This record gives sequence, structure tokens and C-alpha cells, in this order.
Amino acid sequence: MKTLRVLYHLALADFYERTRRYGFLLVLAAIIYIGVLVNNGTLLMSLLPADITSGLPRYRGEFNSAWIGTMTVLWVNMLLGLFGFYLVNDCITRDSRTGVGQIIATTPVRRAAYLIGKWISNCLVLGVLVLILAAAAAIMVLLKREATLEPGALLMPFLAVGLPYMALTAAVAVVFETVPWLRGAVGNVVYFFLWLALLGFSVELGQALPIPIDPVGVNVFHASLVEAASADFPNDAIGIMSVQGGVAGVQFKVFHWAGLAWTAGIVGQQWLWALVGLGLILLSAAWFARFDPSREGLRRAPAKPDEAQASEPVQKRHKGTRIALPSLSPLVSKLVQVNPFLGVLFAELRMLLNGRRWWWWLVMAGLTVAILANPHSTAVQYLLPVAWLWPLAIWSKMGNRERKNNTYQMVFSSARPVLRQLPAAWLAGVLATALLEIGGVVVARSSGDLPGLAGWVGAVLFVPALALALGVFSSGSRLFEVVYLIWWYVGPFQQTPGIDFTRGAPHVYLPAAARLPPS
Amino acid sequence: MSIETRNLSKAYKGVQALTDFSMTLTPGILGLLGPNGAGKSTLMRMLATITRPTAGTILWNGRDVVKDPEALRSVLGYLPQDFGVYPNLSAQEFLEYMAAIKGMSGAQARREISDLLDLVNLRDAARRPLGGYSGGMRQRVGIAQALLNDPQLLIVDEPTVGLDPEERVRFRNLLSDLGSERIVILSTHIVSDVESTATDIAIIHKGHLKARARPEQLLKQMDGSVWEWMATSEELPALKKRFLVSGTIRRMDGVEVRAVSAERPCPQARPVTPNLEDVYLTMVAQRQGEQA
Repeated sequence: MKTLRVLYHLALADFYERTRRYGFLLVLAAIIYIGVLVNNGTLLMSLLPADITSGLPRYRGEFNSAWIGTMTVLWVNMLLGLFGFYLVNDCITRDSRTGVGQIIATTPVRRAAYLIGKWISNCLVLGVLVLILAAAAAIMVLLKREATLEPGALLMPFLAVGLPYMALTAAVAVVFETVPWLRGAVGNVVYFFLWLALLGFSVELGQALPIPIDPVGVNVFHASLVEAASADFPNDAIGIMSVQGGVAGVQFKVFHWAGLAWTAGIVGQQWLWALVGLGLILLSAAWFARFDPSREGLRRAPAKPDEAQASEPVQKRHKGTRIALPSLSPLVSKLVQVNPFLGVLFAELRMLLNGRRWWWWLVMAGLTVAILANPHSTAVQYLLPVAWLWPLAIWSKMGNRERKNNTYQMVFSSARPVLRQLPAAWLAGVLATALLEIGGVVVARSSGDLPGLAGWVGAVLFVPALALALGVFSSGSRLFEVVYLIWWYVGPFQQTPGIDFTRGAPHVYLPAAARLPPS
Repeated sequence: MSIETRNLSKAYKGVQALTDFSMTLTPGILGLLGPNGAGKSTLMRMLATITRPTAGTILWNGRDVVKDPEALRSVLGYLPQDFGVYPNLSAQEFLEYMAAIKGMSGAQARREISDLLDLVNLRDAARRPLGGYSGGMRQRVGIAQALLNDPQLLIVDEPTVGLDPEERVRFRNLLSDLGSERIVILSTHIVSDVESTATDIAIIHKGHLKARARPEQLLKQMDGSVWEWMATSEELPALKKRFLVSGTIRRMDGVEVRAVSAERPCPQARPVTPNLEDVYLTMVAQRQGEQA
């Protein structure tokens, strides 16, 4: 009983704290917008013909409750499986940042109970979003008027497939937060690839493996949908299922699908993923540091002995007599005396590049050497995309360091912060990017790759501008990390023309870089 | 009721924050004094079961808290130096939350929260979001949460920071009341807070316990070593180099200097009654002198 009371209050306080922020209204607006996109056919689900190059029509179900519910749920799982994680994985970090965590650490609450409470809170937040989309799906059935509203057929996909996957996502978010090195940019990158892998498993290998790995639920519906479509079009060869943004001019053949014959086995199989999530939470309680600063690396390093001595010259002069209090170190560097802007620029550059461990620099240097040593095609196709992802943690500090370290009152009360500090911050980002991506420009120059060279210049100016703009706008690093990760995956990694900012589109990214830094 | 530390040490990645710290506490108020980085917060975090010592043991009524922290947590109240709140919760909601995770029942929590809101003078603001509170009001919420479970061991780190003079006096009186039947550990840089409440004083420097005594014992040691006299403004820099100046007050005819010195600093100097600030500054300066 006592444990239930603890879980209830842990989850409730965290849920209130998150949903009462103005930012949550933006999230709700985004979710409602997704509902609109599903409604107007921009985001859709279909079955492809077996020969996808034939140009034959695709297949979709009539807009009844089962089809719309299923389509919405698969979109929910695809989108909230990624963005939902980034939305909720700050509950332990917040306790750590605010200091509430160190008070919690002195209470009798157990690690597992604390983590489960946070998991329930994550589930509640994601559950609210799923419910909003369920309501949007119901509205869509009524608007389309192709069939009557059947609440059971509409809601079952949400209850059996949507909620368990959200529970798993919520659990993974908590687990990532229990590992200090997975809390920041590294964790966001790792989760992005984990999500891609999970999606790949669900779509392509889900049923082929001895144990079905399909938390997203694509294969839960696939066989039933193909069977229904084949029944209506017995002479057609029907292929795989597609969940993608609307493609203009596509013809559809409409078939009747009354929905999945839900069995306890199907529902249980999907809810097993929630149990997997709970298992992960309980496992992570073993290594969760419970806000112990000596285990989480939160404690500020004390001044080095040699620095302390340098700041206490009076002690030495009056040895044996009496000791005066130490004087403060001079704060104004020689560079500032020469040119105030250069001083700020140098300080910004130092703050941007400081704090990386030796192995981080070793990997960056290794990447640069590999880019220079390998053939042009290998460097461009494989190594340069990695080099454009590795410094993510450096860029993501831009524009939000003052909020994060609570120095904004001092910084923004100084003289001309917009004219002096902001351009210096951006220029420092540009210099750091140019330095870290030096391999790209050398390769482009040596191979006479002019589009590559122009793209490199555009990217060096654009990426820090984007980081600074999103950092200032969101007062945090996560928005940039998520936007950049997706952009990087579609652009430099997949080398999609126009979106790949490292190649061939400087006419887009140079002006964008000029406009982005906020004023 | 007692808490005892035996040869307690803590190292953070090779930096020794606390060394071989032994001490026994019984009901009363212990004032912890020491310069920044002395190891006070590290000691308090270990006593509050947040962090584990690198070596040594902590015994609560004879039970090893390092091995079994739960033995202490249910009777512990802790107010850290840098603590935050959930800005979108009200004081009432935040305290309900803290009460639940401290293991209090619903009825007990409601009763205690109501009493504490009156005690810290936040009744009228109890339903407002904490994000709109002033620093002093948040500090009072922190004090309230520390007292929620009627703790037998209360650890407070800089509790009066941000409080206005009236609230500070109220809190000092509250601490004095609590200290009569509980163990209270009070860490602060405001020596007057310790002076007015502590029944016992410990001075920590560079991770070592330098002194542990009752205030009157420490003051007695300094008897005849504190002096006051009038000087000119021009003389002041030189005097600060020669003596440990613990205070200066501008007067119409110059500067009244208060300094610590084993011998009469000048013919016109007159001996005055020492206070804890004199004691503290002397001990820290002596320690720095030994190291220099």
C-alpha cells in the first residue's frame, strides 16, 4: 500500500510538472497537427503491388474504424517511438539538475520504486498523446463517412499495439537516464540508431526471426490486410505494407477490411514489450547512482593546488607572520585589452571546445586521417558523414550554455550582448566546425570537387547557425540534436539532393546561415 | 540517540575531500564551520546517505548506515545548500510529493503539511506555483520539507540564505527548539547563526576536523587576544598586513579596528570580549600559516 502511494505521488508530481509547462502546449499542437495530416491523407498507409516498379495502383482499406485506427496507430508508433523518447527522457536529469534528486536520495524510497514512478509518469505523458490521436482517428471516421464508427475496432489497435510500444519507449527513456553518459547528445544519437534498428526489425525481420521482434506492430496487421485485399482482388499480386507520407498522383484500389480478429495471444505478445520495459527498469535500478555526486561525475572539480598557490601571493610574502585572505585572479586577458571582440571570440571558442575527453579527440583525429588517407569515393560516401555527426555534442552546446549553467543573468546584463556575444558565439562555432571538418575541405580541394568545396563552406557556416538558433529558441540542446540527427540521416548520410547540406546546395545553406542566428 | 563517524574519508577521483574524520553527536545543535571547499558538504552528504565514504563507518544508534542506509533515512531531514523545486507544482503539491516518498501516510502528511505551512509562514502562498516564489520563499519550502517527517537527525546546509532578518530570527529560534531533543547539524558561513544556536562547534579545514568544542570553550581560548582601537584610513592597509583584522567600523574620527593579536598591538588598543568570528578567522588563518 505504501509502495503504491509512493508510486502514485512520484508519477503524479512528475506528470504535473511536465504537462503544466507552456512547452507541452506546443507538443499537443504538434500531435493535433499529426492527426490532421493523417486525416487529410498526407500521412497514409497502403499495400504496395508485388512489383513496385510496375506503376500499378496501390491498395488501401475503406475508411472504416479498423483501417483508420490501425493507420493512426502505426503512425503514432513510428513518430512517437522517436520523438516521444526525446520528449520524456529528462525526468531524472531534471531531478539531478534542480537538486530535488539529492533530497530524494535521503528518503527511504527505493531505487526501483523511484524509477518505476518515473516510468509511469513517462507512460502517462505518452498515453495522453496517444489518446489525443485516438480521438483524432474517431473524428476522421465520422468525417470520411465511408463507414459507421465502431469504437472497439477503432480503439483496439491503440490499446493492443500503441500503448505497449509507448510503455517500452517510456522505459528505454528512463534506462538511458540512469546511465550518465547516455543522458546527453550521445544518448540521443544512440537512441536514434536504436529506433532505426527497431523499425528495420519490425518491418523486415519481425516475423522471420524465431522470436518475433516487432514492438512497432507492423507485422501484427500485415497478413490480415494482405488476406483482405487478396479476397477483393484475387488476381492481383499484393506485396508489402507501406507507411509513408502521401505521394501525389497515386491511384488506390479500395478493399474492405473489417479489422484484425484480436486474440489474447496477439494482445499478450504486444504487451510483452511493456513487460520487457519494466524488466529493463528493474535491471537499471542495479546501476542507478541515486544522485550520488561521486558516482555521477556531478561534483565540480576543486581548484588544482598549483592554481590555488598562484592566487595566494600574499601568503608567501608574509610567511610566519600572518596570512591575508587570497586575492582574486585577474579576469581580463591580454587579448581583451587588444580587442574586446577577439577576447569574447577566444573565450567562446575555448568554452566550445573544452570539456571533451582525450578519446573524443583521438576519434576525431582518426576520422580526419582516415578521410585524407582513403580514396575520394570512400571518404565522401562513408567517412565524411560520420565526421559530420561526431561533433554533435560540441554544436549542441551553442545558444543554451548560459541557461544550462545559469550564467545568463550575468552574460546578458553585460554591455551589448547581442552585438558582441552572439556574433562571437556563432563565429566560434564556425571556426570550431572548420577545424574539426578540415579533412573534408582538403579532400574536396585535392580532387577538384567544386560542389563538395562549396558545400563544405555552406555547411561550415550553416550548422553552427542552426545550432545557435535552435539553442537560443529552445533554451536547451535537445531540439537541435533531434533536428540535426534527422537532417543528417536524410541529408549527408542518405545523400538526398538538396537536403544534404555538405554537398552541392550552398545556394540554399549560405543564405540560411546568414539568416539563422537570432537577434 | 547518537550518530558517530569513525575514521571517515572520502576521495573524489584522487582528490581527498575528507580525511580520517571521527566524531560523535548526541541531541543538540552542532555548528559546522569551515572555508569553502573544506569538506563540510561532503561530510553532510555522507551523513545524509547520499554518497558513500571511501573509508570509515557511520553509526546511527549503533547501526552501520553505510551498509544499511534505510536505518537512518526514515528519521532523517535534509536541506541541501543548492536545492531546487519543481516550478510547476505548488508548495502544497511539492510537500505532498515529498511526504509520500518519505513514507508518510496520507492523513499524517496532510496534518504535518498544514502545520509546517503555518510554521514557515507560507499558508497564503501554498497554492501558487513554486516557479513564482522568491528565493527566500523557496528556502522556506526547503525547510518545511526537511521537517516533514519530524526527523530525529536534521542536516541543514546554509539554511538561512535568502531569508529576511525576521525569518532568519524565526528559523534560529526554531532550530534552538528542535535541538533540545534531536541531533541538528547546521553548516553555514554566517557565524552569527552558529553563535546564536549551536551548542557545539566543529571547525573543518582541508578535510580535517581542526577543532570540536562548546562555544564558550573556544571563546575562552581567545580571551585577551582580541583588541579594538582607533586608526586612520591611511594606516588601515598596513594594519591589515600586520594583524588579523576581524572587523572595521568607520567613525567620525577615523576607523575603529578590531584585530586578533597575542600581544597588545599598540598602546591605545583595549582588550574586548572575543566572539566566534574572531575564533573562526584565527583558526583558519593559523592553518593557512602552517601550510604556507
